[in-house]
Amino acid sequence: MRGLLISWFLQFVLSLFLLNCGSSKKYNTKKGHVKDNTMLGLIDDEGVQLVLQNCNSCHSTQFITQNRMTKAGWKSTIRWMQATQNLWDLGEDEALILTYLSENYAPSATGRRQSLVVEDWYTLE
Amino acid sequence: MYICCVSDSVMKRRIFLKQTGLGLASLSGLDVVFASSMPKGYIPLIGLQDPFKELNKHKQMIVLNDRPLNIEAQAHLLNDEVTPADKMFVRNNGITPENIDLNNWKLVIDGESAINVSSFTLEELKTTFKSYTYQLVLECGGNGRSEFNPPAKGNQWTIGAVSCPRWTGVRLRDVLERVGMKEDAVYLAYHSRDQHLSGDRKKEAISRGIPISKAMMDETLLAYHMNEEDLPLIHGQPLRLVVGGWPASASGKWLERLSIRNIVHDGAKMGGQAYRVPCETVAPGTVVPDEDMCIIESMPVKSLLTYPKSGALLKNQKNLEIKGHAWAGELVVSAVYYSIDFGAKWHLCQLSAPVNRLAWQHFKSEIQFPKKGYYEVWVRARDQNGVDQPMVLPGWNPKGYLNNACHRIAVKVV
Repeated sequence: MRGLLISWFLQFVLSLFLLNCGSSKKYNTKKGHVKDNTMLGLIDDEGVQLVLQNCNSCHSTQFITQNRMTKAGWKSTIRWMQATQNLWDLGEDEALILTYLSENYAPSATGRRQSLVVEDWYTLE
Repeated sequence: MYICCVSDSVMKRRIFLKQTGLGLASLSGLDVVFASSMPKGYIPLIGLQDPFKELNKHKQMIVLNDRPLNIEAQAHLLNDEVTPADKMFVRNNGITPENIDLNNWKLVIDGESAINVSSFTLEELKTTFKSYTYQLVLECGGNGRSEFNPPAKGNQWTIGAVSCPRWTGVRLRDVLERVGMKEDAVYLAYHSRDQHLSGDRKKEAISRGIPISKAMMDETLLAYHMNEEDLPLIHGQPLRLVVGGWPASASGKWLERLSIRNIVHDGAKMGGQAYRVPCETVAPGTVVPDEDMCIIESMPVKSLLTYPKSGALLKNQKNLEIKGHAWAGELVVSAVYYSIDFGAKWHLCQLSAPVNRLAWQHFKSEIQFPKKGYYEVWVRARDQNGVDQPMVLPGWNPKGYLNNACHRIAVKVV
């Protein structure tokens, strides 16, 4: 019973924090970083919760949303973090995490130089 | 207070974890792995009420990453001849230190090749050694990484990880000469107060350095002022190295200790793939073993059009004044050219001399467009050895360093 009360209390307190959590960012970020309340900018797809739990405790999700890698590239990044950055063994979650990352943050075929993108044309006085 | 949102998909319900001053709590049976090593009291930028106000950054600066903090400028923000603090990029590898006790702060100088291991308070540094002021270019080694294809891992800098403020401090050389160096000294390493992202106290976020020959140059400073003011916290308070013309990662912030090494320094982000490029050029996408990577030293020739901002519409006029800066690592820029026809023809700009060695130089020109239409203005600098900036991404490398492809802006004459 006591445990249940604590659990209710925590859910109440945490729901207050949820209001804060989704407060809009007041600064500029790169395009492609999805603004939402729960995924911290990550694309909502199978595996996103595992990514949040395992990755966001050390670094911003912006390290993910900025980058584009193949499955091999993401795997090598995970190995590098395990070897040098104190990332733990992901166990059986690793396969799903790799699928999530490589499907949602994959490199796209681009040329050597892309067209210039102008967000807002303005009249130069 | 920053709130971290985590969901447990197995339990089919969301549980929100609050990061407290004591670290992440364990709630309702969901344990946060390594919660005990979360940095205490750490408040990521995302949780600040107004991050730009707290960091005194211009509101048009772009946040690439809020943990670790990485913020870049846009080209048009860098038009000042001396970069103001609010428009200077931020590149952190770890967590910004807090509560630095300036009264008890000391810089320790040790290492295998130090003759007299010494320490100096800030006051002792200021009163013992002569101060010098130089305008010095700091550019992140990964500036321009966003253009790499295949993509390179890391913060996706576009063009804004460069700045040229005025730095005041003491010459590293004077301090090293006071301490004394053994004949076998080869490298000067820094150790800083910023904490590793994992919160592991035994790990350094970054600990790089420079060869003794660079450490002994007149312009290599231990700086305590930026643009005549105390170093802002985010830029290394109370003391940082400033190593002009080299990857800015050599310019360690929040200094606590310098080590005079008898080997090439082996600290965090000196080895592996960090701040290193293939010793021999490779085809895009090549996996390069660590032992075939070489440390980046001087940065390549580069330029930036800072006026006008890209996207200018010229109405009832066909003339346009352009302005910007050019720099070339250890070298001087000998010429800057512009093109309005995608590099088919190049025209010389006016170019100023640097105010001191390793400062950027300013160029300007007046363009006359022949007729209405869409144009791109490209600029291209040449260093004193006759080496030009390439028009496209040069030498692909695994971590996306040293992109000095010429800068472009879009203009329409309507």
